[in-house]
Amino acid sequence: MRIVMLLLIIAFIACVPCALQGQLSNKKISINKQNITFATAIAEFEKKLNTTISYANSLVPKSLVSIKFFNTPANQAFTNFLNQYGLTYREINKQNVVLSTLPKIKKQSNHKVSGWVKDAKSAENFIGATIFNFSNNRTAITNENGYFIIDLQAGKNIIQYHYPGYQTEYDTLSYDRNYIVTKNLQIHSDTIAPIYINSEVRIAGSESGGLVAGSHCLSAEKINLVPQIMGETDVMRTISMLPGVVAGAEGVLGVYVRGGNLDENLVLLDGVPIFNAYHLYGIFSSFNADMVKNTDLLKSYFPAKYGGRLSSIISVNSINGNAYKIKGSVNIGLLATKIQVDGPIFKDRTTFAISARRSYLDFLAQQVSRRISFDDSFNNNFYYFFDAQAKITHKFNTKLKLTLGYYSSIDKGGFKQNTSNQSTKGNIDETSQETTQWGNNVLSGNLSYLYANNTYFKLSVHQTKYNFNFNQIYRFKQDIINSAVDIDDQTEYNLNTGILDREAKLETEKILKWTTINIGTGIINHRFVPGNRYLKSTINQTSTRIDFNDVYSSTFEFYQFAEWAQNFHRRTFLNVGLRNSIHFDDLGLLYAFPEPRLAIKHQVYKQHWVNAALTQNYQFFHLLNNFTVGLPSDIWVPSTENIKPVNSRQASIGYLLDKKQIGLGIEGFYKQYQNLLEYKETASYATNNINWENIVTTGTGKAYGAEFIFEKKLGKLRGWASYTYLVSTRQFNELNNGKSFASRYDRRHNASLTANYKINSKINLSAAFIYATGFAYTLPIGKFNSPTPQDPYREIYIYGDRNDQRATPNMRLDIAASFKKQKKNYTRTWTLGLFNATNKHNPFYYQYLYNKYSDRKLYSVSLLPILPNISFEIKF
Amino acid sequence: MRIGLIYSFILIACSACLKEQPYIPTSPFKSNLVVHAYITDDSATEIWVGNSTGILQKDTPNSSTSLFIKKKNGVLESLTQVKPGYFKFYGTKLIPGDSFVLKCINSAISFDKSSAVPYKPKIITIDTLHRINPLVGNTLNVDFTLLDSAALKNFYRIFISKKYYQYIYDYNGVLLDSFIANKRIPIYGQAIPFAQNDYNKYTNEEILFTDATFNGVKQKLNIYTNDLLRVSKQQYPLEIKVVIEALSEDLYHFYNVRNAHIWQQKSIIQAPSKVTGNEKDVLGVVGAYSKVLFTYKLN
Repeated sequence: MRIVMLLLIIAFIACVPCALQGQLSNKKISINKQNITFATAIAEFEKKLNTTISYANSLVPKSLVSIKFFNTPANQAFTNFLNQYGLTYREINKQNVVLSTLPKIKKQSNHKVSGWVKDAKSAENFIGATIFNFSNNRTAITNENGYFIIDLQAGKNIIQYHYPGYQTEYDTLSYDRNYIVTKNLQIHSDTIAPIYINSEVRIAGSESGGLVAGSHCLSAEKINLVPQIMGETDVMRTISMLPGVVAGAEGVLGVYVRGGNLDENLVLLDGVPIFNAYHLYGIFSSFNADMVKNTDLLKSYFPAKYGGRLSSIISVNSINGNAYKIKGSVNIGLLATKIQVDGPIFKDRTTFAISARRSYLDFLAQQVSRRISFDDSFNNNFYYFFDAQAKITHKFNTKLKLTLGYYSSIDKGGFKQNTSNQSTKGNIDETSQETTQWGNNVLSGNLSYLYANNTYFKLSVHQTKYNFNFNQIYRFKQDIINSAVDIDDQTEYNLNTGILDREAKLETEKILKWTTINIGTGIINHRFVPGNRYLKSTINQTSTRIDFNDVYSSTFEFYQFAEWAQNFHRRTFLNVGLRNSIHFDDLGLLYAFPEPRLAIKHQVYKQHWVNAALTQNYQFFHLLNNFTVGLPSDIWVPSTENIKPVNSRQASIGYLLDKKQIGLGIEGFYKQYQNLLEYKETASYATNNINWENIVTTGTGKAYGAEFIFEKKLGKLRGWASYTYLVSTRQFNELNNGKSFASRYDRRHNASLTANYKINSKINLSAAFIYATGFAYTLPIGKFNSPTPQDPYREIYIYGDRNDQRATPNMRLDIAASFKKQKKNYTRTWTLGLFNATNKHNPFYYQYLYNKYSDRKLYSVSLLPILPNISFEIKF
Repeated sequence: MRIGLIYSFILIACSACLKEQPYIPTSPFKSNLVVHAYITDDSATEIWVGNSTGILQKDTPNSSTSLFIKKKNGVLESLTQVKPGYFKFYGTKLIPGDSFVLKCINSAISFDKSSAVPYKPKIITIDTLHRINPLVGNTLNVDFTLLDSAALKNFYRIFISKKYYQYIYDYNGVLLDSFIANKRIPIYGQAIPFAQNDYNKYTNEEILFTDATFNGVKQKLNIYTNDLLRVSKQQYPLEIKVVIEALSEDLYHFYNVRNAHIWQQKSIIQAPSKVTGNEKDVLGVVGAYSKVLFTYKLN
């Protein structure tokens, strides 16, 4: 009877050519069953869907099957399951569903599976997830939208979905149609979660991407494995532990990649440049780690869509927000408190993610001052930093997505001094106030559209601004009793420097069988403010103001790019990119340079890869810096007729072993620079100089070295060790008598070791050790007295060759332990740590001082000795 | 209190740590002759001669040098070494506009350096605004009009020096000593010619400027000081001098670079700025100046 019924139903279906599968409930279901019969699997679905499922035994597979869905809409889960076996379903009524074979599709030359890979709990798209087809050895990497396409081959295809830190999933698909899937991955169990620091990176989002020379992908989990500093997890500090990256002087972060300067790094937050990515003079990065989804570091090959910098691309991608429920965290550390919340606004449609962080050094300083009676001036000094980020993502449908972003960071410090003199004759008040403030402000919008399941269009616009402000006010107020004239004079000096970028970009990414093509164009308006000043005074009740704001300059960068990613014989991958940048201004300045890029990788044997890259890059603006560390007051200036754009050419070659348990990478590189910029030796380094071109000089440079990384990906003990050998030199005709000299961050040997040991699901230990050859610096080797009629004794230093001295090597060990406890509605974590656990006094700078016997001696000054830290975090 | 203690610990931990390091020169230091010659039209011509020394060595004056000034009429007059390495000129005074050659004869290096004494700055008007009040004494603004010479590129320096009694007391407040001292006091100016020279940011003891924005015409300028010039237990101001100098170009640049270097020495993270001489292999400067000064009695 049952069979008869089935035949009748099938006949009915056959009579409806346009029959489509029915609509089961959208309620979320979770099933995890391995190696069960098809009938058992159907029984599971019947239970979850509360419906009866009918089918003909001849249609279903005889082998054992697996089901793995977590919190997935029922219709989607059921469809995905059935599609694996060439089946679909039709809903007869709410209680009855019948299975049938998928309608035959016109034979195509190739079938594909495309779709998205997501976090099962939050529906956050994974960028850089790996999809591998065991049947044809094809690999795909999800693009910025978490989207991928991969080829199928005749017969059964076993597809693997992998993302670091998440359980690997498999699908078995037959070669009979195109598939569109949404794969939800669950976070890995605590004990075997892999960390990831191999060289996978997305190039044009294609199956021929990945494993590009000189690239690293850091997942959020990976960033969190490095011990916290003052309760803060730091993206940039983690990057500084990678090979090829040299950290700044001790206590000052900044990353210097392959011998390049600080301004040669393009730091992107969701694709928008951030000009100063640091707080507290570089000790912390200005990115809140709770908002970071993942971070890419590219050192050799830059995809053609990136340009305008020479040394690296640091691309930080932030989360879109949980699509199902409100999630968040509150973290209280010794230095700052931060809060992060994300979740759905409209379920499955619109999500948000926001975060804010503020330091409270100023509040603590005032508390201490009051309690232990420091002098009043302590009360008048202040410093704090603040950052905030907000992101809204709206999906109009599965193909059209809009993202709006906002980001702001502020550092503010200064002092206010007030002296008051009161007597029977009258009062005098004197006020001096100095405020320094700097920070970024970013607004961005992105619209992406997936056309025909293989072409992404993306329109992005943004405005990013970096501003430095210094303000100084002096006020003199005098009230004399019985005096006809009181005095209330004030002088104010104000300085603004900064850069404002406005950019619009349109790009398209087409994924074909063996090829991915990425084409785009964009225009950037750079607006430079090397020094906008005013002097304002009110003296004798007469106000005057003098403005020196004639130093704005505005330039444009119009660029086009095209990138071709090709897969040859499934083992050789080629990326060829060309970017053409045209730099111009309204005064007739015009530079146009092609920037060709080439990367190739080849699978030598199983997990053994070799890769190589050739690149040429141009940078059309420069950061004027004459300090031994990067400072917020450094000035951005454009290339001009006299100051040509700086450019570099780089070649690199590497080897990679990428096993499941371990990874090993070796890479060598050689880089040449032209038109590097430095201040002349007798120049004025004041922060604002209208004629800055007169006080700078240009030269050349080169850098070469070798990088090694070894990583352990799985197990209770995870981590990586890296080593970099680096030589970086500069040559300027007007500096150092024309002789070549070491750049400040020419650190020959850099080594780091990061280890994380998970004792159990509650206790986690981490440690990081770094060693680096001391930085190069210039030391006075002689002196002479330089008298003037008004100043008869004044010692002047004579300097030796530029950067011919070496600081003592930097060594530091950081350790931390975190204790996690799962409560009913939240997880709380205490983290205890020691920064510089061995209390090594790493030099920050050198100085001559007189000792108690009045002998002049050389001293090193170090800033950060052992620092304990504690933080408390609640995640809900 | 807990918060206070925690923060105190952080402050202590964060305080900078000094550690003596061995100094190992990468190459032997080569000493150079150092000459600072300030030639002027009155008897104030002074020249210092010395040698540069290794950074850890003591200074040594150079007393084996002979100096001469050769005027445009060819007459060669020697300078008198008043004390080792310090020379004064007691010969026939130069007048503004005179060119000259400084002849230096030394066992290691000898040179001739020519220059000219600039014309005195032409101050058409000068007006000082004293603020006399019973509480703080005097404060001072100076407005002056400078008539620039069109024929030449001119370089100027302005500063104010204070002459005062300095009183020294012991711990019990008993007066031990007093003497007359001179020092330059901080000055500030807002005029565009001042702001155009970025080197002015390195010091507030003097302002250096050129006639680039007022070549050949009158220019009103204003400076002021926030030194209160008050009578105190330690000081008794006597007078102030407003000094306006015309400088030779070399001297102007030397003062600028020297000010930058001195500022840089105090900055822990500033890359080095070098002070070089205007004669090959000789450090210092051979420069010339002429000046006008205005004296104001106080109290």
